[in-house]
Amino acid sequence: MIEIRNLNFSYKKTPVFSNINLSFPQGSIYGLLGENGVGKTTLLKLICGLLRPTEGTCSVDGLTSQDRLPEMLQRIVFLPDEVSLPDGRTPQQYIDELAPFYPGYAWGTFLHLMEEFEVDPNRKFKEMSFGQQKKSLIAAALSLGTDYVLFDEPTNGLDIPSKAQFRQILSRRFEERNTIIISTHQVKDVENLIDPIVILNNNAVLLDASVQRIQEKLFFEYGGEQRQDALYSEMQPGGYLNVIPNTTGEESQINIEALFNAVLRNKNVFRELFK
Amino acid sequence: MNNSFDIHRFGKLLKHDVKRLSLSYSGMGAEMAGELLFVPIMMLAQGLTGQNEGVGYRIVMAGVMSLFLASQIPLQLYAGVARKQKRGDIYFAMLPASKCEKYLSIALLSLVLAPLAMIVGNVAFDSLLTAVHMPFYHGYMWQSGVWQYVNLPLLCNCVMAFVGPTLGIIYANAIRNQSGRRLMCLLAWAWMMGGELLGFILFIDLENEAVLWAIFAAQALVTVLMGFLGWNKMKKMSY
Repeated sequence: MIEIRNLNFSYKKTPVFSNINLSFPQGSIYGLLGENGVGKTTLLKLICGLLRPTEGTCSVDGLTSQDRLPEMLQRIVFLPDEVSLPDGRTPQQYIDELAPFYPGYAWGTFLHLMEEFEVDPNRKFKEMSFGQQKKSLIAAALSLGTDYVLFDEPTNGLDIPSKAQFRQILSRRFEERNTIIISTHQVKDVENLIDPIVILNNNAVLLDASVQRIQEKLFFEYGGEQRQDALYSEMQPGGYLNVIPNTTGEESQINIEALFNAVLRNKNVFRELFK
Repeated sequence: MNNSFDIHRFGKLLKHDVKRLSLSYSGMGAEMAGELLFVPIMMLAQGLTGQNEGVGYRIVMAGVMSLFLASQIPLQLYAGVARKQKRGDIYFAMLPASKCEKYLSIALLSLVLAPLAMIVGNVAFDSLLTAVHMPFYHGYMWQSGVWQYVNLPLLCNCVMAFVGPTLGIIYANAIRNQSGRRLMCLLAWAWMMGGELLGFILFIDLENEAVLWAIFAAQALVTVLMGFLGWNKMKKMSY
């Protein structure tokens, strides 16, 4: 389990997090959402131990992240938005270099994923498009067999079919022992994939709830009139999408974009609602 | 701290580092070798046309070569490494090995293996020059004429002045400890400066022309400059 306790972090004099607490138990694909610059990437780096908290702790299976012990690093893989690519090499060579460090690496899985992504593992990175490079790195990250996989904007640069492939692969490959955290501002790309949803804003965690809990607390009404009691309304073809408190207990399909906007506009209401 | 050093994991890391860095720099090495081949080709042309007696031409050529290499190689290296550096840091930092193992691996690479490779390259290149040189100068010379002036050991040091600290920074940055990084950088730089001085003492005939001093001064200046750039870059480093 990834645990963040009383975490404070700032870049010099700019505070990013102020006393936040979060837990990421195993067995879920977490969506880490937030506007640009709220600290999504920073949080991932803190979890990996690439940054040190000003105060508080981050730990992975009880191992303090900032110590970056080999035992911890073996369990976690972080795929940043921008990665240094070994241009002259192929994805196969890239994974061959990394594999000896990861006991859970599965050679067959890597080739299978590359096949699913329709990328030749023996083609040099420099001869690939950005999307193909990204898919190769995603395949490598997933085949290392780590319990924790952290993706920072994984769908950036992927075309529409590739985004669908990414969602399918992640759903299919996901195991109960895994924890996957996807940090993104492109919420549509990960809709129906992430559960729970964590929304960050201005030094704090605005929402940390499972899809089921969100459905219990909120109702997403599609195609009606604009409601005055809505936490958020948005005009759509065929009527309004209203996000309202769920008073009937009826279940509705979550629209993550609408949820995101509703949370940002009603911070205090959401804090009370999901207390 | 029982996991701070594991010989098996260290072996894997060293193998990984050698492989990754040799592949990363193989293109640049090939380019450099291609550029250096200019020297024996010129010597051959000089010999074939019978202009094998004059020393002045060799000094001029040595000066041109030296300036060319002194300016081009560090610039190319700097551009290439700086481009990849920031993102590359995360890769190294996330490799499942201890800080101690990462530190020792880069120390061994930067301070022992890379210079060793440079020396082997130097010997090979000088042998090639000697082989080209022999038919025209009626006898065997351990060190070829032109090379006395260009002086590969000094050029190697000049290159290493940049490569060493830079590699040191890349790896040392995987060590989440500012003083450790600085020590790594300083060690690499000190090695470079030491090499420079040794090269000067061993290979330059002190009775020779003032131009040699100028070449040496240029090379030493580049060494200092590159060392400074490396140090400065390290200070600004963050993930």
